[in-house]
Amino acid sequence: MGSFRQSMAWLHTWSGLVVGWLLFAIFLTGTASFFRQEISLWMRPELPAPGNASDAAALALDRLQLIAPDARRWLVDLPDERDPLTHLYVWRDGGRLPAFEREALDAATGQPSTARATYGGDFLYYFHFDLHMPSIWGRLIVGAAAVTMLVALVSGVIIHRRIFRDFFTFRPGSAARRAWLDGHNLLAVLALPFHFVITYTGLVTLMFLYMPWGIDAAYMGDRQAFLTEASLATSSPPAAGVPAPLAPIGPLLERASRRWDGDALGRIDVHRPGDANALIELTVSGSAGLAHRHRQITFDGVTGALLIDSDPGGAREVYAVLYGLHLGRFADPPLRWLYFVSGLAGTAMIGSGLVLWVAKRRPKPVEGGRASFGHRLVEALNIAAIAGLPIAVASFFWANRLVPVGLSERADWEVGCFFAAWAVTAGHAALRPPARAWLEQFTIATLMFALLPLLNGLTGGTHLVDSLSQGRWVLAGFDLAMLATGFGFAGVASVLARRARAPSKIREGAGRSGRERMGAEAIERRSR
Amino acid sequence: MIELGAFLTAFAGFLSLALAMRRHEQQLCHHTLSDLTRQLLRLAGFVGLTASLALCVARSGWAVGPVLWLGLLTLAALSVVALLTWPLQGDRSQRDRRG
Repeated sequence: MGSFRQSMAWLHTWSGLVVGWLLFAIFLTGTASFFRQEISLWMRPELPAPGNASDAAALALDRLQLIAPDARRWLVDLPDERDPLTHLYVWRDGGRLPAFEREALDAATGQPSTARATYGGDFLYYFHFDLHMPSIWGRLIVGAAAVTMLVALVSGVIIHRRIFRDFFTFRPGSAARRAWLDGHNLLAVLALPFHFVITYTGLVTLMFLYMPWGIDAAYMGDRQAFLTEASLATSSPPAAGVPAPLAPIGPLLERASRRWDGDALGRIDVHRPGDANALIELTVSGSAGLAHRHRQITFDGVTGALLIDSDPGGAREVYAVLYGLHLGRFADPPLRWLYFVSGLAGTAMIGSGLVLWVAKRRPKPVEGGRASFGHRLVEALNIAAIAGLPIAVASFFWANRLVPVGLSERADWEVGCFFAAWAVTAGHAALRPPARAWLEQFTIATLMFALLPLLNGLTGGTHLVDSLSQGRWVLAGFDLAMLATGFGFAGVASVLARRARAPSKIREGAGRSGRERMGAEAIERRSR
Repeated sequence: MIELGAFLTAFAGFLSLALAMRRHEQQLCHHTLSDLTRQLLRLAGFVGLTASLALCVARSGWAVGPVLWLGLLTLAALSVVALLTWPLQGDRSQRDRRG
């Protein structure tokens, strides 16, 4: 058993280290994505307070009729309590480019939104699983990282000898190794169900990409046929070539609402609009239950006749529930915050694991006190990931307010600022001594987050005082969360500054006398 | 507000379970507890956690309730750790001894 634990410890250490930085970024941006709509709202300060948008669906279809009457497919994401905009997506078959187009509408007027161009929270959401890489490379890399995360989770549970006896144990005052290990264990064990489920369900969301071979074998390589049959995607029917007007949407919405016992409509999908073969597919809103996209109704797009009222089978429902668990769209505000807290715990668990790797291998002065290249590399990457990524995220928010509104490709400039800031932090981490780099980057992160509410008020956003007094909780919540993040980083920075003034305390093991070390080891033994 | 109740019962449950452990008993009490007290604390702990689950299910149903419960358990356990590590009041001497 001893050697089994040892090999699991080796596996845990190295699997965690190799993908740790990537996982930290995936977890951090994924955690922020639980508030994707709220972030988007803050990043479009021109948007009016949400109003009545009862005819958003009809207005959206009018708009699509105007801009894309010849499209193969229209998709409308309707506004809800978290997102005041109607989002339109258009696919075209060849001919007039572009083949895919999107537009955001003011839900109340049905006209293109005048809010600034930005990817908003969607950038963080997509980065979380495609790393802003072209094609499927990012998704494959994230998938590999997630599988490695599962390996690290299981091996971590195996090597944790005192999982119950240390359930509540945290000794921040003891030696750095012990303190970081306590913290790492706590963050892992106390949110273990979340870590496991979120990693596993994350893989499930992209499982048809990661493991397509069963489908390929059963459907002769025709993946679209599988997706259609599983009602995961609808393929557009072939065009009849006979023009026919689209059925009015109002009565269809009423019929869907009756069948859904009043659950809100989330999405309208129109295939072959204006053709005799048109289909209209309605999907219930994502907030209506644990499962993701679990009810759909398909109508004939011309006659309005009901074609399919999807009653997904067991396997399909399991998939939808696992997918829904990952996205957490069903979560009301308290549960959403719990998702967020658990996500932060996961992010901090990964970060503490990375720091622990360094703390365990700090060079001893007897060996000359010089860090090896590998040690130095890990520490620099740790700094760039753990302190640098938050700075990059803050830069993305700053760019949202400082990049001129009229600039062309404006949304891409914001993303550019994110990556530029991250690259600068990486360079800084490589060049400065580690202790200085940590302190300096956390100080910058503190300032960038804590000053965001001020920037928001100065650059056209709703000032925190106003958003609080007007009860606009989403905007106030964002500003307060940024303040809290700033205070959090300030706390870390002040601890680091105090340790920098008393260097003997951080370089434990290095600066301690033999007697102290024996004492610490005795304590460790006793706590076993 | 039922979620607040669910959090408090989970918190109380975890606190009882922590008290039933010798290491934490020293952090919170000044004298040793009897074995019977420890057993009762353990029982109270599990009752608290179960009550919390019941409240979560009552609030959100069997589909979402357990998800809420697990989230609350994480928050409650982290709060208990914070309370054990940085006690709210006084007794600095004990805290320093541990550190």
